[in-house]
Amino acid sequence: MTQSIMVVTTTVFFMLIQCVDAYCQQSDSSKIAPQLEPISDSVTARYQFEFTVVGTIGVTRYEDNPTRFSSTNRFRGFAGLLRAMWHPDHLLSIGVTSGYILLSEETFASGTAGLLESESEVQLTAFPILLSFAMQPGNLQIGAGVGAYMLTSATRIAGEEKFTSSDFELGVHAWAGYDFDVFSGFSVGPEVSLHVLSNRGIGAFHAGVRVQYDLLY
Amino acid sequence: MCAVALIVSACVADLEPVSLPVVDYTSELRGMLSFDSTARRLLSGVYKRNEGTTRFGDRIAVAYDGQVVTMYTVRGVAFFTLRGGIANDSVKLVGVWRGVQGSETGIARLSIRPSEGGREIAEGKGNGLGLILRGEITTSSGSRESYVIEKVDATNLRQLDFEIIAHRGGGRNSERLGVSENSIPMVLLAGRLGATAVEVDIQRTRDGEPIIFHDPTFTARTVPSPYVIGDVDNYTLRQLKAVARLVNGETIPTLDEMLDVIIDSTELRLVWLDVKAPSVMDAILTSHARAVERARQRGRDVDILIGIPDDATFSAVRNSRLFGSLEIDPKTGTLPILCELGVDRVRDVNARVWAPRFTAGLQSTLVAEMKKEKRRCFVWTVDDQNFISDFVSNGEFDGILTNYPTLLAAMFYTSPKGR
Repeated sequence: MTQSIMVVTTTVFFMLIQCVDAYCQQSDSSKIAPQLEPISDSVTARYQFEFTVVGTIGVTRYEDNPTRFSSTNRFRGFAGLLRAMWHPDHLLSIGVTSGYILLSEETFASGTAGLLESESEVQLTAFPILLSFAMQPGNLQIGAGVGAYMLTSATRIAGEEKFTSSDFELGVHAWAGYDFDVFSGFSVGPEVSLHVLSNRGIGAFHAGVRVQYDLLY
Repeated sequence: MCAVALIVSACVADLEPVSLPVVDYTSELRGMLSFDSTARRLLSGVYKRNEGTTRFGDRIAVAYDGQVVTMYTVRGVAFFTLRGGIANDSVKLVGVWRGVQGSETGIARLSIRPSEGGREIAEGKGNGLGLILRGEITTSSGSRESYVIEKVDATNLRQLDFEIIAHRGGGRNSERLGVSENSIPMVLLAGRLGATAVEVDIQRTRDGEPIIFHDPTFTARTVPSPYVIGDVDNYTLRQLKAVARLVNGETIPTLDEMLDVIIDSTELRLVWLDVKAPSVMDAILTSHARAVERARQRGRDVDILIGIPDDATFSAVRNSRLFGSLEIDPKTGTLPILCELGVDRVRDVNARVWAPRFTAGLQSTLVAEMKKEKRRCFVWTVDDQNFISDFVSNGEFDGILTNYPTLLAAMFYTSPKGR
């Protein structure tokens, strides 16, 4: 089921990308034909190196309850991402995305389900390393990233030292953001994003704020 | 880019579990007397198909596991688990069948008329030759097919001195048996799949506890819990018990838990401990000694063998302070060790079993040498029907390790050697 949703979501997303690309190709023709006005200043202004810092909160959904003691498969989390994008002479930009994502955190009281003898804590975080692509029609940016997520699980059962264990998983990331220009080179706006690690049955939907800086503005 | 994303997103296909049909045994067998051991023995043997569906081929092996009558077929690689009863000199068997290499399953309802062997079974006389099981089976598509088989060989299959050794405790997750590989429910199912023995894998936890798990790392294929990732020996036993679930929801068993269940709750007669964590050899040998004592107290004749797959494990066994405490079998003069290395190493540790890889072939000369030294010879891991046929027909091995015990049971029992 998760696989199907993932495939459909990804397909729809890339169809959307293609539509935007087609739209932007039209916009590009405005640069070739100087008699036409560009659709917005930002279209021609964003062919630069660009850094984006994104802070979001969101919900993580696991395919099943993550432990036999868990009462739900949905958890609150947050993320801080850094995105570095290069815009060649085209509206398609390419870059990398990384950062920190808290996927879930749970504490089980002693005696949970009559099985745990002491309080236990578990936490799952992700450190994404993604190759990212984005398109920018006007002040809107939509993008996607594909790559590895270094998942880190931290567990502690009372009396034991907290320790971590890590592993890499493949995943995809999609986002859409809007930029309000604040002053030269700086813009701020909202961003919504989705992280999917289908192999592990993990999906995380986030919303938050992005701050963007055009390095060579 | 789109193609890459689609490939990434779809690269792991969910394995949908195969649900067996539900049978209401209480109402199906109401008013019937349960089978005793004589009835099960009379039913056991090799049958030929007389009429009806050909989906299970012409030869069928019938055995039993505990209270359940089992059937194994080469064609369709199917196993049946049937419960039965006797009333008015008639025998009734009802249960489910499943093709283990696919998802075909259904219900089987068979009976034996008084004149076709039912009376013989009710009175506990004879050897069951000529008895006729007739009835019908349902299929996954809902169709009904008639089925009539006749017993043509009276060998008590479970008494044959040949080990059908099921890999990973009975079968892999990919066979979608509804229970996870290397789990307690899997070894409880192994006998019904046709196994007389199981191989289980031993890894270690961070606090040095031997646990039953195959891989050195946790993956979504074996443990879907998102909190359980990375190396197995990163986790203490308490942490694993708290957060790790196998693909069908079971917890990861310890070596002690697994051996206790095999001794107390199965009729398996051999356990192959495939040691993948030689660093905890002392703990493994301690569990082994404890299990041997438990089996002795319960009157269970089960041979628990320490597997030696590589040089590191060989050294760990030889250098363990508990090596000297391994009991020598008075009949064979050997130690409870199964060695996968060369025959010199087998002699060096006085192993009871030599277990070469199947790709080395039949090795008839070496097998004969080992047998002359009162050692048994197993071969691993043989899944292909042609190779199984070759080893059963032309080899002199005493057992075969396989991921398909149902196939091996059907092929061995219906072969000339099985009779």
